[in-house]
Amino acid sequence: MSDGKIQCAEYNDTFVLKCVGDVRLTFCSALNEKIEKILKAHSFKSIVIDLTEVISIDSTTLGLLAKLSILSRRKFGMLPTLASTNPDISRVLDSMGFNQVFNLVHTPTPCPECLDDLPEQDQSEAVVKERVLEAHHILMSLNESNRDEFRDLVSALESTPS
Amino acid sequence: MHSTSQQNSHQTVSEALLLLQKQHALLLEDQLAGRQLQQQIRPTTPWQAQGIDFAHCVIPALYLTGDSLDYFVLPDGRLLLYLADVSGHGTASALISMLLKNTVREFIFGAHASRSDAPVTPATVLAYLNQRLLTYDSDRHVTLICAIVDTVQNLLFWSVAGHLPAPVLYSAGRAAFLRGKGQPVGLFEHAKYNDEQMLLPDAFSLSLFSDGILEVLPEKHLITREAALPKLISAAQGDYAQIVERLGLANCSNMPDDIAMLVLSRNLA
Repeated sequence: MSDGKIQCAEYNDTFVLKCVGDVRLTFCSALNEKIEKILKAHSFKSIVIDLTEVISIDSTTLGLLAKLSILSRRKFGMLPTLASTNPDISRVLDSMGFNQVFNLVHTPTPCPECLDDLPEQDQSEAVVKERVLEAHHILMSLNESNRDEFRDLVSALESTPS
Repeated sequence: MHSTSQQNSHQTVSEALLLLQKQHALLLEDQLAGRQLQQQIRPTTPWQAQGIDFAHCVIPALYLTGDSLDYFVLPDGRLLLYLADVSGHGTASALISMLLKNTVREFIFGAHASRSDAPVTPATVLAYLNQRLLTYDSDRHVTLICAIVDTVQNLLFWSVAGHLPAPVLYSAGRAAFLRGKGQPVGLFEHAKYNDEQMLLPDAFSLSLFSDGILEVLPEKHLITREAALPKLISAAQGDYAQIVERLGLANCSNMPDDIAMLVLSRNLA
């Protein structure tokens, strides 16, 4: 891990994954298992991923996000919401075709009109839109006042005996 | 008594150090052998077929690289090429890159290939790679560009799997990215790949890069680095040697990421 951080928080029925800075991962499968364990242990209704404070992201972390998309679709019948406001990061997500496997939001504040181009998923369009908006609100409130809610996933991983 | 135990511990430390040095040397030798094998397995450069010149270079971040490329003549006479970037770095990524080469060639030349009536297209190669990689469950995915040159009909076909930067076509003094996108291979079971095609100009060069190339450009952001690439190729008049020089690839070492570059060209002035 370099100067980047991968954190998570649970808020109501939502699992929040937040990446910050220059995110480079070297042990993807361990982190994958850790996240899967957390998701199994709680009854979440949706997953939201916050990349708004990411400066750069490596391919291994992108692979981890892809796995989360598959997991979310299987578990909740809908895709994770993914917030990205850095144009460099949005460019990478676009080149990977992630618009088809995430509900992407590119605005810093929730915007119902911006959700007309969401990919098809098992839940109805109305439900998906509502959850995406709700997820985006949760992100904002967590980022504004409740930063302590986030715990560092990678250091949690390092301190857990294997 | 005290001095004896100190002496003993000195001895143990120096023994341990010696052992470490030995192990390090062994590991290094092992990595260098792997690096050499990767070099040997890459296609000949420069290479020419049907009036098209191929040239490439690959610069590993450390010793082994997940960047790979290949080009060869298809059984029907067309030319196939690809440039791929395996996620992650180091030995595991390098192993996947070797697997990739074998899987592509198996798709083209294997028993399965001769039974199929449908002609090979870049998108069918990507779809096959996607299915094969998913069965390995390796926690590694691959972004790549695959292209086929048909010199009889003078057509270029290509397909993109999550790869950045896009290929750059230089012709008549201008350089521009080719269109097209798709998801990386080895991530999503239902990923779809599209074939793009265009008429090949009489004189052109086509440059493919792994994303490590963006790190050697001086611009600050990914988007501005990306935009600088066609400009650089335009200034280099699409010429392989000039592109290498302008990017400073001859002196690259200890890069944060692997770098791979493949240029094919025809009738360049």
